[in-house]
Amino acid sequence: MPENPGKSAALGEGAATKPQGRVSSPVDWAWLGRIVCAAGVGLLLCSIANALSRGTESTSTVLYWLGILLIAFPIFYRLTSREASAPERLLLVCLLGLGLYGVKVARDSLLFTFPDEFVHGYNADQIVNHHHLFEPAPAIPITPHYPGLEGATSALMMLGGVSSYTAGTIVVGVARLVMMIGLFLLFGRISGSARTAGLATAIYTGTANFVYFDAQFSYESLALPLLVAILAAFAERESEARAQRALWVVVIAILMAALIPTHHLSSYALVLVFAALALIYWVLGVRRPNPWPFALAALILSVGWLLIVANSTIDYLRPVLEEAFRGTFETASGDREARTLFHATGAAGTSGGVTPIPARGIALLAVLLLGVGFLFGLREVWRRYRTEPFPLLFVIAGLGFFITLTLRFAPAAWETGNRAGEFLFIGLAFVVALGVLELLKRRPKRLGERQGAVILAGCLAVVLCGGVISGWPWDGHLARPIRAPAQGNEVVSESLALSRWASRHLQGERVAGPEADVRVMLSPGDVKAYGGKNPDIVDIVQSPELEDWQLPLLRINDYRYVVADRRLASSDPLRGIYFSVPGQGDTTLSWPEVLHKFAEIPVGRLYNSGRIAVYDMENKP
Amino acid sequence: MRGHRDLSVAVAAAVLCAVIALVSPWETVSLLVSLPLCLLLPGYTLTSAIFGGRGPDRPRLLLLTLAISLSVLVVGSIVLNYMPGGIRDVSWALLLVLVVLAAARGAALRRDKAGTRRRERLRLPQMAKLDAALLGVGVAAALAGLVLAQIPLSADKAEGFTSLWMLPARGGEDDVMRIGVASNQQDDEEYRLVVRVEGKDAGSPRKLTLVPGEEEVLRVPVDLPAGSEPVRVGASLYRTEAPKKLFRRASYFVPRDQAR
Repeated sequence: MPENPGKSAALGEGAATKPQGRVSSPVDWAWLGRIVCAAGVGLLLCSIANALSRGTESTSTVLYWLGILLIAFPIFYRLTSREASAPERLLLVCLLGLGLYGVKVARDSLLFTFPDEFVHGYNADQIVNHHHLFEPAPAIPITPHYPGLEGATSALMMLGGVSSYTAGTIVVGVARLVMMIGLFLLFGRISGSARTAGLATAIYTGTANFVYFDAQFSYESLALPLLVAILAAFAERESEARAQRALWVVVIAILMAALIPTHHLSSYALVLVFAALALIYWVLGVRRPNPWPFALAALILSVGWLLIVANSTIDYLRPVLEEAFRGTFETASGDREARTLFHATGAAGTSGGVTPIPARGIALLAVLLLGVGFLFGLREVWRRYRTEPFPLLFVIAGLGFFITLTLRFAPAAWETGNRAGEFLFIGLAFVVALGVLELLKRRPKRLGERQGAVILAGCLAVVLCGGVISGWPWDGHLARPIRAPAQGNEVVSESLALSRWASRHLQGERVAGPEADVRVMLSPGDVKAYGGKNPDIVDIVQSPELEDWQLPLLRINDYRYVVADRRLASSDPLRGIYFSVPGQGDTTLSWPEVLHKFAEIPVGRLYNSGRIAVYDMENKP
Repeated sequence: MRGHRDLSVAVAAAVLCAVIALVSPWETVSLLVSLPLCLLLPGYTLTSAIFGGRGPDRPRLLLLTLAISLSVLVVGSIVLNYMPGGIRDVSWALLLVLVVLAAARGAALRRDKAGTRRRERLRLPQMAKLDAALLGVGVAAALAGLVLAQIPLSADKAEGFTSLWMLPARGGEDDVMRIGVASNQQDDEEYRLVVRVEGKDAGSPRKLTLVPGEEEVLRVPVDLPAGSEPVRVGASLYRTEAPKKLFRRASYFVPRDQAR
């Protein structure tokens, strides 16, 4: 990386602006107007597809995919062109990020509906209600120990007087903007080309978690953008004259102070990134100061937070990682059955929807395209950047991404691989962007620049759609009905009705239940609801018989109220919170005993909505 | 902060936004003024303070403004957590105004010392009418999409349900039960509610007609028989269209010390 190349050096190729017609600004508004129009209409189409699904009229995803393509394809096409200026490319990647965030927001309907969102929404409500951080969270107990997202959200909730949903949606939206600008500036600074920066940022939207998982109200949705902002600030620092470097250190310190208390994995990823950079600097003998102090600072802060504030994180992450390692080895050695790709399964083995074969083809093609782009990108890195630490780190990350893809075959490790992917994809996107531009240069002569750009934009669209397909269950792309008007009033799903009832009558009490009901009781219900396997509430609420250990376990943990739910989908927070719609999703019911076994103890059955009942375990004869 | 118009505006805006956010009875107004107070002003002034007169270019300024503002909110919540009174609207407003004020002061001092690099003024883009119209259509379509997402739509094929619940009355009326029937059906439904104490009918059945989304809560006095054991009170709900088929059942054991 050249020392102090000046700001314009980061813009490089594509930075030059040719005034076109009467337009004198660096942005070609003729193009941008059309692209914004397409993106807006695309978002509207996605929203209409969701509305039709919510209204139980159609679950067809054709409009939805058309909408996504309308948002992304024109932007991809323009980003591949040589003409667009750096500011225009920055506007385009911001539009892409926000447009795709809009797809996620259009899926919600004034309520959090993603499994983790209920927990973080509950945490944010607790901060507002109790005026303090670190209030216990029943469903994911470590989340209050990383209160960055909820703390930030609480400011908007309190000052703006809005719900955790509204405030959270805004905070995550701003974080998404930080992510897109951060990636663009990071890639631009490293490559010296706005065109490469724009393409690499656009390619990053093809990571499996971009459209949904990292857009939900969850700590990682804030932490990942902060991590990218830190990397961008570090890259800026590296390009500055010695006197200016300290200023960027202050920026990095502020961002690091926010990242550490926001998300465990992202803070560990930061330590790893700086450690790897320090190692590469040392191996390459880079003349600039080695970044080991940053690695050390990140390590001290992360470990300090872990030991002083969030020591339960070890018990939370250890079993997940141990199981991932064990599961990978067992799957590789044939002791455990491999996971079937594209076949989402609910928590209790419910059918979670199978991805159609054409969609599987697109997802696999996306990986293939990324692989081809990566191979060509490797050549470019070797040719142009082999003495630069960041590109080499990106190559390692890209290789790591393809290795983590194999974890998707191990049932116990696929989530670990999926989560690692969103960090590693940052490097992959950069290398693939270099490869893509090289491929465009080497296109056959009979293929004009415009045709080449169309094919390239099509490939990027495949990568984006492939990421969406592999990152979220096929039956979870569109909204389902959770509340609906009927004869001028509002009717709500069985889980949401339970949540509202529990919010009115069980406030402050400890309630155990199936995962879907528990999550909705947490937010918007604000009820202390517990589920999961530790302690083993899952088996208590799923088994048709009352076994000897179940009542003592409920008593020891002071769960006064128990929710029984016959719907198999109730074990799956992604699918179990909605209205049952015949022919849509898994509407299978479990044994009737699941619902009635507590009544035979007997204890008081306080609430009964047909498939859901609430028992008061202390109300006995 | 004389001579630094942007910083003066930032400080004035922070104070104004904080005051309006705290006193405004309208949620929309509070939210609109909270957005710059929380998500722009702290980051802008802190970036200005860090870089003094040699501020970064616009894209970097935008990144730092947003990212540092978010960071201030994260770190600020931890700071407020250990302050007397904890995290409240007033403490947030005070903290954010103080951060903006201190950072603006620091930025002004640094600029005075180092001199300010003039940034090119931001001008409104000049665009053709057609381009502006397309831009407008895009923004309008996106807004329409987001609004549509927030509108509940009737879901005719969704399976409705009715819930029955029973709890003791609050406030010392130990022999009165509250029994609620809530309809989340798609159409009007008629019901018959039967309350039994230890298996014997307590009073005559009650007839209810509920429209979708309606809940009726009944206060049912329970005449408890003599004895020392808790008494089982049961509520059974029948639909008029299937009068013999039990539709919902709830139960509660009234402890004897609650009985009169």
